[in-house]
Amino acid sequence: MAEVGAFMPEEMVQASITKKGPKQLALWVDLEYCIGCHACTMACKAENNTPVGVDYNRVTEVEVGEFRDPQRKPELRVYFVPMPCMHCGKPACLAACPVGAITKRKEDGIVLINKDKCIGCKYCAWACPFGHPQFNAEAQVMEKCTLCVHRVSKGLRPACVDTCVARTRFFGEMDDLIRLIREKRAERVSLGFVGGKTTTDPSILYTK
Amino acid sequence: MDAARLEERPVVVDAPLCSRFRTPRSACVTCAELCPTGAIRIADRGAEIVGTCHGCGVCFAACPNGAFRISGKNDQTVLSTIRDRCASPPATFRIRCARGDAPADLVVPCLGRLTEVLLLEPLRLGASATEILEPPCEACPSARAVAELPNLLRRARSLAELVGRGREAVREQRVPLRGHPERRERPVTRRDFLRAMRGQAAGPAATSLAEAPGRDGTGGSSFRDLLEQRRESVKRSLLLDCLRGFPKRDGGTPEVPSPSPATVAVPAREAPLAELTVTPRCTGCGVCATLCPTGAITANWTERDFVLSFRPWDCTNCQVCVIVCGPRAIRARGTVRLDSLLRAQAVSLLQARRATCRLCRDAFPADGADICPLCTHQQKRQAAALHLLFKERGP
Repeated sequence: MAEVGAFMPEEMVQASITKKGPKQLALWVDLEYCIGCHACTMACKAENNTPVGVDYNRVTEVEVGEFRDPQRKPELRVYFVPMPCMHCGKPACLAACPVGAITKRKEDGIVLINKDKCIGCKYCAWACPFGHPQFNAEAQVMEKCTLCVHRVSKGLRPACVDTCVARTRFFGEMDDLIRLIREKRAERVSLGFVGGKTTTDPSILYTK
Repeated sequence: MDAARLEERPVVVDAPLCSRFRTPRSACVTCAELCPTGAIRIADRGAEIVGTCHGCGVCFAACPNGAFRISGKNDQTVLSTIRDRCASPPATFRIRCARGDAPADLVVPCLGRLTEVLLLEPLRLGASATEILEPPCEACPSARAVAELPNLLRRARSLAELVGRGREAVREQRVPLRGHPERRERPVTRRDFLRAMRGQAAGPAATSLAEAPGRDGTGGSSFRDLLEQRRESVKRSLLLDCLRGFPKRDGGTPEVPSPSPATVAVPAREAPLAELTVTPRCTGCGVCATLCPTGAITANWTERDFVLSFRPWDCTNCQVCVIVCGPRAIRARGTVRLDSLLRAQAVSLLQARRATCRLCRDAFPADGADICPLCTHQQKRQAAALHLLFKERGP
């Protein structure tokens, strides 16, 4: 590391890994260590008291690899991908809402649905590239992950982060998280965003 | 601060009727553009009166939904003036503005204040024509307020034709402009002056208290509650009362209780109502019904069916339903038949069987599947997004 410093001034190194932009709270999910226990889903359900059928944090299973081709070495792996709201930089749901019920908070980048305004038309669910917003049939409003905004405002971490058994979830500001990832996994990091970084600029980081 | 005194403002916004309040997608700025003093601002909660309001009422006439309440000379009081005047109806009922220099039966503050009903009511009461005495408005400081006058005249003429009076029953005539605005008979006293000043201060003061609940009678209740409160559009109900009060075309004999009114088709842009069609792309979300300012569209889920029905006589052609429809299923026709204003027959826009989604348990118009189109769409979207995340590991 000392040699890097000799070639490159420290602030340039810092600048290269620090994204300059508005503050954005985010999650980092380390897929390599996620064991798919669904504890985050349950913690989220308990914390936000969601009805049956509405889950802010669904964990999906993805099979990666090919085993049918005899020419190649079978390399199979199952990943568990928790899919909370991506708290996008350019939220498609916000643009789709006909009554302006969805806001992206300037102070921390959390995307929230104002339940007083929401008319339950589900246009946000149609627009979201990640299929995240869900309809609460009891309250007739749309709901989605709030990044546990009620906990965050008290200085706590989101419930899913606190409860994660395998310690694969990290919470913080986007820039700090990227720095943390570089520290922990610098040598073999492959930073991913579900759906790519281009479409709506999602903020939840994945490494695998 | 005594809120009751602020409530004395001459004009208040009836927010639930304002298209801009109901959806930020609406691009309606008619009131703000026509207000002669520029006192109206369009904000997050729709139109707001922020500047010096004279109470001229041009905004009420300009707004298709009539989303303003005038405390002084509103349409009801002007109509009673017209009725008094028409006790022995003149052959031609003349209307002029405060600056027109000619004898007239009715004086309004500005010709931009006129609404269809004010032009048609004299005809109903027996006058053979209504004549607008129009001074050269371009020389008037309130010139912007009459920008919509030609449209109003076109609408009033079509409506006159509809009730069998012919387009020429609404006329306009050029008159000279009076040198000065009409003076009051009584000299201005100190009390008048202070009262005027208080009126001027009320607008800005109310704006600074904008967050305080109770303002305009809209604070305190949530946006959703206000949406569900259906406010009757006074402008529309007065017009309908007037139109239905005209003698029937074929004499209105008891044997023919509802004679067919004249079929008058006008281009949709100058019609006071819209003719809607709905394509099968409708997902039954009910946004059009929720956001329609006058409640002309209703979406009804029953045990077995979904029915989207439309009451044309309540429609004000504000276009909110067309703008907000996500799947672009609702369309407005290019020409509109005005006779649906008089026929109180609701139109069924869409009828579908009801199905319940296996996943989200919400109702959707049946298309043979047991999962609603949205759940299918969400699953596809999610899979596509995950595919992109793992793409680089592929062969």
